[in-house]
Amino acid sequence: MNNITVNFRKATKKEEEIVRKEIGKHFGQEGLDSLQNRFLWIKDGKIKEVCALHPNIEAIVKTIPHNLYFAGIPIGSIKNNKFQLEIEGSALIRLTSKKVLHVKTDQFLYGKSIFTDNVFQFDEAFQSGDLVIIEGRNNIHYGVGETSISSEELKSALSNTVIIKGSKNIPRDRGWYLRKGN
Amino acid sequence: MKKELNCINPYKLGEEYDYDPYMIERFVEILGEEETSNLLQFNETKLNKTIRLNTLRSSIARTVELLERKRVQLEDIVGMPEAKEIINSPVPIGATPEYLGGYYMLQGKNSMLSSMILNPKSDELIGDFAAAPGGKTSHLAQLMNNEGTIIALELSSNRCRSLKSVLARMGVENTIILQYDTREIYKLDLMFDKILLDAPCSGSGVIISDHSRKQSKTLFDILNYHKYQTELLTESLRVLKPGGELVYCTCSLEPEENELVITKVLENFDCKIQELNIEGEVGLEKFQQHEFHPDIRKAKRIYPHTSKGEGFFIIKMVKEK
Repeated sequence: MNNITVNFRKATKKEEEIVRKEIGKHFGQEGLDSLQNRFLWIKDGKIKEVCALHPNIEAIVKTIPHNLYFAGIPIGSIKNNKFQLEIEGSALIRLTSKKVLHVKTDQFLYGKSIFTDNVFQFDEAFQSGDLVIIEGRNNIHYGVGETSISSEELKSALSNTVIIKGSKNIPRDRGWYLRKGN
Repeated sequence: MKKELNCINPYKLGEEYDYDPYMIERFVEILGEEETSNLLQFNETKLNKTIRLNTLRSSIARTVELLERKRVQLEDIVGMPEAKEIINSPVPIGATPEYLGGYYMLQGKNSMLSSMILNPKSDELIGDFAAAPGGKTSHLAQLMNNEGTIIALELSSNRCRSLKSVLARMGVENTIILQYDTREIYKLDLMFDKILLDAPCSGSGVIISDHSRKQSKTLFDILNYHKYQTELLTESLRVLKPGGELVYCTCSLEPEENELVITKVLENFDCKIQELNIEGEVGLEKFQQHEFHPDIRKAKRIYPHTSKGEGFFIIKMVKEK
């Protein structure tokens, strides 16, 4: 019954580089600081799931030869040599980064897009194509999204311009836990 | 005797509420006629939802404030600062941004007791053997302040997936999920400081939230659970450090799944049973042909109708050095 094959292993140097490069590109050194004192591990499968482990967890993980389903916190996935930051990765980065878009709609939690009219504040300038952390009212973390316009363009954009494209099939918003969590 | 005459006949109630008759006979043997009637009537009511506020994500005060702004009416639960009863909510409490953000978890108040009784520390290795769906695991992580290590075992792949999802939502970082049969845990060569064994059970304590249980389990099922639970507890005690502590609990009221399991296991392990400082009835001394270990009185039977929550059996064992 036991010995179920789940390959859970330490990230290779190349995989680490892919993850760090993507986080550094969008969130700079502040974003990378969130990974301090955490080790990156990979759960192999259709996609490579990336998780962050504290040293004491890693020490025990190393002694477990098989059947390890998951450990630590899932931060994203690697597909075609590209790292995709996901919900909990962005929550982790939020601890050290201020690159946040504050919205006044819950629509993002349903996998829907955010329009410029839904934005009430941003804490740091961003470019089109950047990843930003999305927060709702009361600074509640909603997830992470890719901007389709810059913070400069946001100021003069029409109210129905999409700034963050939503997706129901990518774990980037916290509504994912209701849609696919069980 | 007078009281017995005044109460509604539990056998008639059992018929009216569609219970398998064997269940009523057993309840009467454990509780007496009047209490059985009270239990059956209580099982037809609706429990208020309870939530556990997750201090890994936000302080208790802030989460209370955020929910109250949404006009969610909360009430404190005595002895459990992180637990609140939902008296009224104009919003779906299992789908708010705060819920999705892991600020709280829907969890029965009595189901929070086992983690509190285990009292895990932030430098300990904790075993949570039968961990899904993860309410108790994330509570353990909260009590440990996300430090130390929890090994969470779950055999089913689907349940591992939902366990992972719950732990991620709640911001739990100190847990390793193994898709593993607890009965083979000794193969991992780990010795645990403390273990929580919330054993799979027939669920006769939670009929209030699952009415299908009135008919879905037979006596044969209960005996099968007994066998499985005895194996799980035996193997759990094998990997508990000398001096280590184990909390065994089920949401079943059946003595075969509780007192009898403990009595059997104590034949092979040198353990002390600790007194529990919680509300509830003492463990049974005997049931039908079975006589139980005398220390079982230190266990607690929590009945739904007296606790206004789900039914539980809880016992804490300390392995001798």
